[in-house]
Amino acid sequence: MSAPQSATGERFNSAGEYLRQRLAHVGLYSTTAEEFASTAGIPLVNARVLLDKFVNEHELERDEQQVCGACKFDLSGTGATTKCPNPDCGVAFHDRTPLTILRYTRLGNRPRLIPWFLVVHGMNTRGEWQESLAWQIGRTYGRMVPVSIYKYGKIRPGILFVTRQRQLMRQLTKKMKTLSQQSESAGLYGRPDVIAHSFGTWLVANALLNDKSLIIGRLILLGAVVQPDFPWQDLVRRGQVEYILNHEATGDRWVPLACYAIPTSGPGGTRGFPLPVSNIQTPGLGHSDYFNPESRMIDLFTNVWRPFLSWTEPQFSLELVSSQEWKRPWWITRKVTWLLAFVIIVFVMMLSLTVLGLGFFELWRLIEQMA
Amino acid sequence: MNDIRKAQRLVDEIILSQKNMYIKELLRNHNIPAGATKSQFKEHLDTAISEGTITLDDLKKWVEETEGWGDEHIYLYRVPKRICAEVSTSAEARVMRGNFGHLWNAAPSIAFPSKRKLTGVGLADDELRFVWHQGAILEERAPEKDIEPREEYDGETYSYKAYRHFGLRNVTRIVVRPAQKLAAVFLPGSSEPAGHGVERASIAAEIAEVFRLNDCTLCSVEDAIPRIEKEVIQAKVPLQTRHTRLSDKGGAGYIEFVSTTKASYTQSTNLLEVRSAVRDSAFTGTGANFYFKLKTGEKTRDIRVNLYADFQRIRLFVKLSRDEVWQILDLIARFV
Repeated sequence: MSAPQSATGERFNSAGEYLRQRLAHVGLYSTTAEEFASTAGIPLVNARVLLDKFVNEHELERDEQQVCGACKFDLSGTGATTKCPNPDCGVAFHDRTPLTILRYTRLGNRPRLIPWFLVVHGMNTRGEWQESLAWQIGRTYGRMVPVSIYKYGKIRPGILFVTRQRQLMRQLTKKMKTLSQQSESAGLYGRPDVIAHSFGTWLVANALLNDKSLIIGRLILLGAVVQPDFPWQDLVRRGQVEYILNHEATGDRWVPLACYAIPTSGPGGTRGFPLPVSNIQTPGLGHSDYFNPESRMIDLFTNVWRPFLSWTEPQFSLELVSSQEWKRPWWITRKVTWLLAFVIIVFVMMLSLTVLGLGFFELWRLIEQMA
Repeated sequence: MNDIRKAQRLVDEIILSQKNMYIKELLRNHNIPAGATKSQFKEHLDTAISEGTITLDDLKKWVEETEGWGDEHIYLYRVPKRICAEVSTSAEARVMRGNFGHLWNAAPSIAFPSKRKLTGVGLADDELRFVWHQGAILEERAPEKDIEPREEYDGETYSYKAYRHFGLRNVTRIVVRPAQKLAAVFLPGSSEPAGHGVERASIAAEIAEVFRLNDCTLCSVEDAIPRIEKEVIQAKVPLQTRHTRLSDKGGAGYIEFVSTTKASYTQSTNLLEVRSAVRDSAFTGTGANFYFKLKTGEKTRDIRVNLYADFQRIRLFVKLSRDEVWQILDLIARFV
């Protein structure tokens, strides 16, 4: 008799240990005594005893199904007691006793289908990570999961102005609606899951808040610059979003500063959000370190984000942390810092224009001399 | 025959052949001790009839709600607006003008006609109902009456198996719900699907003066199957999908998804992934076994509902009450 072996080749000391390992998985587990005896390499009688023991411990359920002894018609839910209800068969059960198939089953968490993804980048980037993530998603699932990469370009100065923020938010709303219609007509089931980073989190949050008809599946926030008192509970109550995961990076230096320059933003990405948002942390990670190096992004997607997305009851591989108290900075502080940021940006722009102008002037002179 | 004898006859011939849980419910609703077996039900019902605790009218109403519901084949139709309007406004006048004015809102029949016979037409709860009855002789294996030993004849061995013949009343119905623009034809579970087309045409012709079934559109079950599955996958409906066959629209072949457990096959991540990779636009649903989670008080029962693309038919197997059948049909009607 050989020691039980898992699909990955791992060997176990006992069939019980092997079964426990199988049951440690989140989803469905179902076997018959014969199947288990064969996989675990133990005699059938021992397999039955072991499986029954797990039934008594409420780890497994007995799942008995009857099929017609003649035509194998599934008799479950037919209420048939005397003869096969299949019109092509109709055999009396006295003449052909129905067969009983006994399975040992643990239903577990129900898997969830991700119809498509929307990934939204931050303000200070063109979102190169989006392509890598899309490629990773494409390789992860055994079927086509479309990924829409939403790009709005670098918007460093524009971010200071509410009008520009609103404009970008409206553009995103329009795009999300178009994508939803397209996916619906393509027969893709359900709403998209969204992964957003930095200012992308602000855009998604406010797009949802401002348009009640916008509905998504699950939302992953990375380096969120959303105010910690953002009314996520309203969005969940309205059914606009199913679950929200806020992945905090403890080494993020930009998120705490966001509210001093970007209107109506806040340090949700380091302070966390109260329920219904689930907050997790990765120690030492900087603002854009989720994606660099690429191997880290693959690791985070596989081990942290994917379990959250893949099951009806979201799974968390990192410990959930509570949100911290947050007080909005004084109005005057925010205005002064905003003005400072505005002056710096105007100064930088003026400087750039001056340098550019001088460059052109010098070029013109050079051309004149050559002529 | 006085009412007491009629009531006792109703108990013997119709009520006792219904499912125990519904008989118990009848007894409970009239504060009559229930019991556990058919003979106890009969004893308690006879006493209750004699004492006047339960009347013939009570029993007739119960028969109408229970008899024939559940173990049947169902065809759903979309009813055009103008026919809905006719039903809502002039059904009674049309019945009176026709040959069966005497059946308008008649009390439920207790007859066992040898041929299918229209026994009632009525409008109640914004629902036009036509009911046909037919006495049928069915047979059931009776192994205790088998002839043993086997007989040798001309060098061959013969065995004789016994079947008990018993009488049953088959119920056929057409129900029209103008508010939902929906009609349903209910044919007995024991009838052969191949003959349903002829049967539907025959009953449609019989009531054509009152309701024109032929002008209604038979709902496509094959289109409904993938739509229902889509909702099951998203857990939006109280259904399980344990067996689905999807056929390639080009006729090249089919795919079958089957659950080996009591749960939907979509409980398996791998099967769910495969199912989602199948484009509904390229396949039609040829057949499906759905299990409807029916709540009765504290209990939940899994009621099997088979959908067949052949003849666009819905099949229920277990006896149910009228309300329970309509709970299931209302759900399916959302997808046809």
